[in-house]
Amino acid sequence: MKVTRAIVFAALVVALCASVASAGADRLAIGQPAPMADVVMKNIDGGELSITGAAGEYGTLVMFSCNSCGSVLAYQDRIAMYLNKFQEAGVGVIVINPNDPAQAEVDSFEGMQQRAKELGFEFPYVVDATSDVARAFGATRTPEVFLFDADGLLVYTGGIDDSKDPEQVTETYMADAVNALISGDEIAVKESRSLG
Amino acid sequence: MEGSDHVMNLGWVARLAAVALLTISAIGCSAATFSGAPQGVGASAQVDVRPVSASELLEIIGESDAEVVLVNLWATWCMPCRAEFPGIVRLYRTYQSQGLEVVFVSGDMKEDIPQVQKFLTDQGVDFPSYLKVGKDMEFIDTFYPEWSGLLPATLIYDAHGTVQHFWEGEASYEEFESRVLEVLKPSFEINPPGTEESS
Repeated sequence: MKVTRAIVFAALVVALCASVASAGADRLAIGQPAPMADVVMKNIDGGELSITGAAGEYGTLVMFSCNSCGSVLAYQDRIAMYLNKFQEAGVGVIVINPNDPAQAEVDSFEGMQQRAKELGFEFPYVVDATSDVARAFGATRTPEVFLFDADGLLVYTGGIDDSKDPEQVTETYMADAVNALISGDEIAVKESRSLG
Repeated sequence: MEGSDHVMNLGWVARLAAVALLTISAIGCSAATFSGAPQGVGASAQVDVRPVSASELLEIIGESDAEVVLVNLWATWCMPCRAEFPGIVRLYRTYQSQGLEVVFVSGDMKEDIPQVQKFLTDQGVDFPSYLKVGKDMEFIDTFYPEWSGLLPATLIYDAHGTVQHFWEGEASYEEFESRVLEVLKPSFEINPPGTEESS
């Protein structure tokens, strides 16, 4: 915990967040397939993985995230908890870091490995070295969720829930979407917005 | 049926997550530093950081007597926000006497008020600033529904409280200045600064 707190503090001081896709494509719309789905990216386990390669029985959850953004730091325990469970349930998970480690050292490959170890990530955490994948998605912030169904079409995009402050959470958008996807129900909230 | 079991498990996880995070969040969630009172934390020299809801923010803008109100939404952890910040402060210093009011609204969490205050102080902000309270989507939808939530975001209001410019993402000093002047200029034409109305 001390190590995590130190990283959190350092990150807040450095204060770098996703400068993702500022001039990228429009945000991927509901019903569209994942762009650049076959591009392989370096995974923290030393291997390489594409979005297609991460697909699960019920679909695929793509999350753009990083180690340095304040929003991610607020959500990182929730990210670990939810995504481990989703993957276990049969939803493919791939977390993509599009940030430049030259801007924030904690976003280095080693930093990603360390963070994943500390938080107990059991899912892939890959490097989008050129940020091209993020740009292709029209991703503009971290964390940002893109959930695809078993046919590879986008069924939910947006945030994890309705508050960075866990005490204030009343709407669990991402978990609700995954629950609906698995059960075959209509996803009630297909898009959400958050500050980031 | 296997899927249904998973659904139940995930529902349980969803509920558990919010509760569990009260104790395991790396950032911490103490409310001790945020009483809700409109005052800063720590040394008196620090900038006054006030909590603000979207509706309160709209009231502040609506009640302003300024010719132009520039609202900038930012966060300490947002690099583009930090990059453009000095330019906005400079703009305020340059055009304050001509009727420009700047309202900074931080999207940081309440636990981060000390960092917010330090940043504002370092930037030379000496007027009250604000920290967004309430849920993101509610804030966005109430304040300005066209806003995606991306930081930084800037809105420029005219003297009637109407939005004349809105954009998301970082802008240069020149871009800020030209947009402010575009809104400020009509006032100059009617009553240029330094010109006394004849009685």
